[in-house]
Amino acid sequence: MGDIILKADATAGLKVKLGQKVQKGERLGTTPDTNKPLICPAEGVVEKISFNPDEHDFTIVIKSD
Amino acid sequence: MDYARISRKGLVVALTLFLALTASAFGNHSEETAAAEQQNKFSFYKPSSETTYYPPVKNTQVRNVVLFIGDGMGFGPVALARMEAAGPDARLYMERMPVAAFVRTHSADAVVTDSAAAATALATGCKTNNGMVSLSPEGKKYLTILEAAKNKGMATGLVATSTITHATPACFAAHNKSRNNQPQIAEDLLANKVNIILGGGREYFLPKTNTNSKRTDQKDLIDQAKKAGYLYIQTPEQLSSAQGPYLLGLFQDGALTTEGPEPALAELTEKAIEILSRKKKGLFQKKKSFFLMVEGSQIDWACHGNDAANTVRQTLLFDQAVKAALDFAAKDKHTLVVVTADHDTGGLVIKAAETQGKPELSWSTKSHTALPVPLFAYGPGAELFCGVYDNTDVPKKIAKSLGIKSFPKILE
Repeated sequence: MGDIILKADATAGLKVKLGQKVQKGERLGTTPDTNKPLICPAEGVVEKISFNPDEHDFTIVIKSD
Repeated sequence: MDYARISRKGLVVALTLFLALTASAFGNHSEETAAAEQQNKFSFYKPSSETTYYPPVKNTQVRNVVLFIGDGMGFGPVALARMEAAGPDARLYMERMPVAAFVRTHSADAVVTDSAAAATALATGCKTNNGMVSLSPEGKKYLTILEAAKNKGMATGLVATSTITHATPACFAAHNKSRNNQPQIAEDLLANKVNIILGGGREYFLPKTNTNSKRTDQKDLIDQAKKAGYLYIQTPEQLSSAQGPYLLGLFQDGALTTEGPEPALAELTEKAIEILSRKKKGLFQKKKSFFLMVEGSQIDWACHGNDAANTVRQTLLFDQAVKAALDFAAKDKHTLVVVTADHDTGGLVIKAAETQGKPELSWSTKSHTALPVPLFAYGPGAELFCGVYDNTDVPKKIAKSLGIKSFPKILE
């Protein structure tokens, strides 16, 4: 499927780490501004996590098969 | 002064060459070179030769207040910065302030706060929800300590290494339901006529036709600021010759790089104090006292990245700015200096080494934590700040020391 790019709130906490395998439906963190759970849309591996200072959120890149 | 004028890239290149040369000349001394590398990384910082407290100032009137906020600066970064730059028995400048406290940080809707809710508490004495800027959870405006000081006739200033519209500085002179509404926050800062505004964030002051703009309208806030009496500057040279009473210094489109040639946080702080404290007739007219907030914004960002070296670097840059204010306060004797944090980021733990050698670092998270944060105070009124209390108590104590009544206050 390729890369899945998601945004997660930086205050509330990420539930995943770099290199971790994630499942579809797994909670990754919190969606920015909504306080709703950020749910993984597909199975894959967390390839990159970067912090965006201006928006104060994380970009999570998941490599999906 | 010798601030961090050398870029990190330049420093790394020079250091690598130096290490390669010394290794080839004298053999491989990996431990020594690692130690030298660590020492060089923070060579911009001159640790205090004293470990005593700054001499206490008592029984004088508080005229000026400088509030420092180290974003994300829990106890971990303070301890690590001290150990790395000065040694375990030394003191950072902030640790030479004679009064210390533990401050609780939760927000109205979460145990773990964000910077907007925490800065709202530090600015207004009231809690709000994460993400909100000096509004109640229901959307009512809270009076900020900066606005209260201005109403009292004091000059005011905001300095940060983030965009000056970022959550922490925003909470002192803007009111918004979302910290992300930085274009509107930029308008609020100018409408509030804050005397000194120094930091990054030009992109929120430029009209959308400018390629570097992040605005969605044609408002040219820099032009508006000039027409309102602000001197607009964007270089270190302009900073050195700048005068008040209204100064808008935006040194980057986005956040500051915290590397040369842009001015360091200590230089921005020194300049802000120099202008705000000037008693030259006619400059501020009745304004012979001031309130200044200085944020070390990027300690938080380094902690979000679990980047220990940059956490130390940002904490030391912040501590240099604290030193600048303490040196002024020690001479002035009417200036209260308060140093604290909005929250802890990263949950940094310094552990004993598994084997011999340097302590090991362990980060609990890449996000914020609910741990209490340190507070240090110096100057007249500092004794009010001793103890364990809530972040909403900080501006209440500042208001009390300045004789500001009716604070905290809901405006509408």
